[in-house]
Amino acid sequence: MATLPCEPDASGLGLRGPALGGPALGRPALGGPEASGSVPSAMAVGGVHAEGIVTDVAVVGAGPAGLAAAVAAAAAGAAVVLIDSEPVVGGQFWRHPAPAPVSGIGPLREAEVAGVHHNLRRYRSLRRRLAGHVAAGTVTHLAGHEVWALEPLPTGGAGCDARGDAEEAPEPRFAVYATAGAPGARRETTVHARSLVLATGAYDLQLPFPGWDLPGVMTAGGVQSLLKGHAVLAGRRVVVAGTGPFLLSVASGLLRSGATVPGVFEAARPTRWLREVRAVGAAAGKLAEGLGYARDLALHRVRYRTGWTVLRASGEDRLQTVTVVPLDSAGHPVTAGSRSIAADVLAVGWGFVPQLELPVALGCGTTQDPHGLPVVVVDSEQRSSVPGVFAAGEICGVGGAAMAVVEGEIAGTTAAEELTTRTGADRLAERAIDPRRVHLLHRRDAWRAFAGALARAYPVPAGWIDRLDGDTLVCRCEEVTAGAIRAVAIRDGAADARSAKLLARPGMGWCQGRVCGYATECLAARTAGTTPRHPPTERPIAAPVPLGLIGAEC
Amino acid sequence: MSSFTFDGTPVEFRPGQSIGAALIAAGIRSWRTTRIAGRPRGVFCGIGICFDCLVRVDGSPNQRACRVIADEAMTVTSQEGTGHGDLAV
Repeated sequence: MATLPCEPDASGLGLRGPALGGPALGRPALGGPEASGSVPSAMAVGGVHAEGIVTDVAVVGAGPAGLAAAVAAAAAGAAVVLIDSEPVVGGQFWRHPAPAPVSGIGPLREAEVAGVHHNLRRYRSLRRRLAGHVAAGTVTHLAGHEVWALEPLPTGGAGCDARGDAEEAPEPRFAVYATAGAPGARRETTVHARSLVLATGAYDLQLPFPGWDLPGVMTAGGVQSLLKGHAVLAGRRVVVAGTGPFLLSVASGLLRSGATVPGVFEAARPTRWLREVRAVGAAAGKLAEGLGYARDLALHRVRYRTGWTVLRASGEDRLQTVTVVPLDSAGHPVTAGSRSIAADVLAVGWGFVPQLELPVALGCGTTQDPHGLPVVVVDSEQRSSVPGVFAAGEICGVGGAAMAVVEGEIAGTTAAEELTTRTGADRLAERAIDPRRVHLLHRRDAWRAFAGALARAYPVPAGWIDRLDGDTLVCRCEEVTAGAIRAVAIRDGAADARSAKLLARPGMGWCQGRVCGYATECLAARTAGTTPRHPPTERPIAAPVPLGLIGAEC
Repeated sequence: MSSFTFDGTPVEFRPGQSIGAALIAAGIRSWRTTRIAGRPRGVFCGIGICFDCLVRVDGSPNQRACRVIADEAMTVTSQEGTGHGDLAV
């Protein structure tokens, strides 16, 4: 690794960081010997810290896919930087408590949250291997680092990079910009990488309904993250609703941690999933996991109702009552059958939204998942359409942790081998019959088939758009109602989320439309009589960054 | 137990927990009001996506309570609107 000297930029403007909508200004020039195994150096410049690292493979995200990718790339001989926003590796699926910052009383222990986890053996094995690579200096783990931007580096201008075999090392092709640190004292780290593996995961897909902005209504993933990462129960009486097998995992975790779950309300009728048993063959572990959840629910006498949905959440300043309703075979609510349930938390989710800011920023090609949401197109070895950029896990299509691990290993291995070995015809032929690779590709394809079957079994329930009354908030940040979005769709022909945003502000707030984007696109299109397209959203600033860091004088 | 102060009152936390997790464990559901309707908000997504749980930490507004790991020395205050009311003219 080499440090990036922080030099005055040629423009004289003192700008650093990626160019937003224009040519890059003042990019720090690479230089200096690559001191293998050294920690990145930090320089205080006018109170702002800047750090820089040069590496073979930068992996963004340390969930199941990124963790596997980093370990595989390092095992294949590459120098790796693993950049992750969380304090501990594991992502959302294997979220673990942060190491205690002070030696206080009763710090969280990992063993406490083991009971709400699955396949921890795999996690621990990956983590042990990662620790070995970190100790050996082949992986640098940047924990607690949020990547706010990345960009390609111009070829030929990146300066010298004195590795041991300086002539052989290709120049870095990408710059990754991340921030870390306590509120008010954020500092920036820049990583220049020869290849990238993007493994940024997904978050809960949300649909608006009356009362969904009440404190106490939370995403299913959020409830799970409190359990896994903090050993905190979101509430005492937690209704679980939405669609997808993830609801069962959340309900099971809550029950095991001592919450009361008055019911799990699944909008789909997933029994038809069983018809697709052909794809299930690959997923015996998943079936066992599902049976485990069923056992937990039965043990606690929790009703799992399929074909039911949330009608509304009610309460004054916090959730008090959840109203659920059965759906008829056409998906219409049978209001006569509705039930009101006292609860302090509603855990709700309708699937997942792949988090695509970074691949979109690099121009990676996308396609649509079964919900119509954009996902990264990859080839059989997880290459995106941009040379040198690999993608793995949920951003290639939601499929769960086991599949993500497989994709991560494929991506990490391939990324490293392309940099560190000759890729002539002989080597390609060797790879084609490499038993590990053949096994991985086979597993990945089987998981993808399974994921497809699941997505078809748990669709976003039809009819939610038409039930949405005009007063219901769609955009939580800007407090834009369904009525306001319908108004611009009718009056101004705003038939998509982007047009609606420009006219009525949904998606203009803090979350940049991450939460309401799907709903806004569906609602605007429906009102205008068109089909939602869900184009990939460009968010050039992918995470909050202090203005002082963008404009810091070097 | 360790504690930080929230609006002047001590809130206990276990080292490693986020501010948001500690507040929820203490039975506190909301610590922000929205800019337009003044409605209460707390943790929604829990993983740093939604920005509903914004809070002021040691004087810095607009911090995601779900992402900031609690520390003994912290002064946490609830946030109104943009969190920059002190800049209003």
